[in-house]
Amino acid sequence: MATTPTGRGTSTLVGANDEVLQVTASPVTARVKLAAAPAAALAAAAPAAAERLYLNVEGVRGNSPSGVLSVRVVAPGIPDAEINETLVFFGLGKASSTDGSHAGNGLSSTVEITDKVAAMQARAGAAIQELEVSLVQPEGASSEITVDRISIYRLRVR
Amino acid sequence: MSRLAAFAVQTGRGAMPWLVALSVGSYLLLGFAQPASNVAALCGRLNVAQSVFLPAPNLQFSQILQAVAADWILMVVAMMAPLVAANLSYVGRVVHASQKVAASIAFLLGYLCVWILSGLLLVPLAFVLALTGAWIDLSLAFGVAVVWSMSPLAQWARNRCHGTSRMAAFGQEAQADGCWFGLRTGAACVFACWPWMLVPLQVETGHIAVMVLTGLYLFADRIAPPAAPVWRLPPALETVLGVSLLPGGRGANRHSLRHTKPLASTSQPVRTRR
Repeated sequence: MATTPTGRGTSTLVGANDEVLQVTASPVTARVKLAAAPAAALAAAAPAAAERLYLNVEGVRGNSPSGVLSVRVVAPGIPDAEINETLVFFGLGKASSTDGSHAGNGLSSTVEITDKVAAMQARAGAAIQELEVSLVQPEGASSEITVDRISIYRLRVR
Repeated sequence: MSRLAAFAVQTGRGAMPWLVALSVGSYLLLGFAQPASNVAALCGRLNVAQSVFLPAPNLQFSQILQAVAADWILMVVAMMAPLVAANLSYVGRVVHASQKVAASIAFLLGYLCVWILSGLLLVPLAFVLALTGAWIDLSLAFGVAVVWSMSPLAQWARNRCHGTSRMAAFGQEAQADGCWFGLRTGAACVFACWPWMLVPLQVETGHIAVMVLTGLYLFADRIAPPAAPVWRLPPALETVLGVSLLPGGRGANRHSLRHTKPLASTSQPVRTRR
């Protein structure tokens, strides 16, 4: 399996949404299909190894100097189990400028969701095939924020 | 750790060893195939005025075109392969493992396609430049290349070489996105590097050595960070000297591999919520 070596282990992409999201004061939802059941993968991990799951909000761009996104993650059909996070992006405007030191690639943020997904899995009693991720600007939208992609990576810690 | 040292460490990681091997193989093919075949038969002779018209009178025009095309493709692969290491690493990171090879190949084909097409303009331009005579052609090509590297337009293009593109993770969409990313990166790369490709084409003796030096220069140019498009000293100097040469630069420009994030442009610390 192709993996990306990191300083602490190897990360592997297990899912991503299909299109760019335009986030305003109204929630926008994306479906992230998972290539392999993450909880099953966690269960199959060797005792010495630990696997973690991360939600990656990639390529966040906007004109404002900074931006805030509220993230809500649910598994379709599994009630009372959700992940809520607030992500702050300082330097958003500069990172979005193609003439700046980020080459216009924007910012990204990563949230660990291992235990929440495991809880969803336990509640569902079956492997999770898809996650639904909603994004909104909680403090109102002075300007639009775009998100290139929402992905889920699995990190196997050495 | 200086930028150059950091990249020296990274040469053993990811796609870089393969790209360096591809580059070295192309250099060797250009060097050793010259006496035996048409490949590279033209490249080093462009500054001989007679060869502009017919480098080998016994060859058909189509054979000459094939030889020029082969030369150009090998030259592009040799000089440009190491420059796409970061882009290729990005492709491998953002697609699913099942699509990593296919999307990487699609990226490389898109990138190479733009460079091959650019030869339709650059090779005739090199022929025309060769007509100005020995040393004048080389001086002219080198001078234009250095001034171009210092220009805001070249920095604008280099910034786009550092740009990423949204890619689908699965299926044929991942390959199509990889190809599109390759086309975009290739177009930016041609715009940033085009005058430097004319320099080796004006050198007959030591042609391969000049190609290697130019390739190294372009690599040093590429690993300099994106910056505002203004007139500046060539970024390759910044890489070699390890200091910021931008107007208003703050001296030593060092960074550590410890600050390298595992995922693209991660700006926030990993947050744990259980």
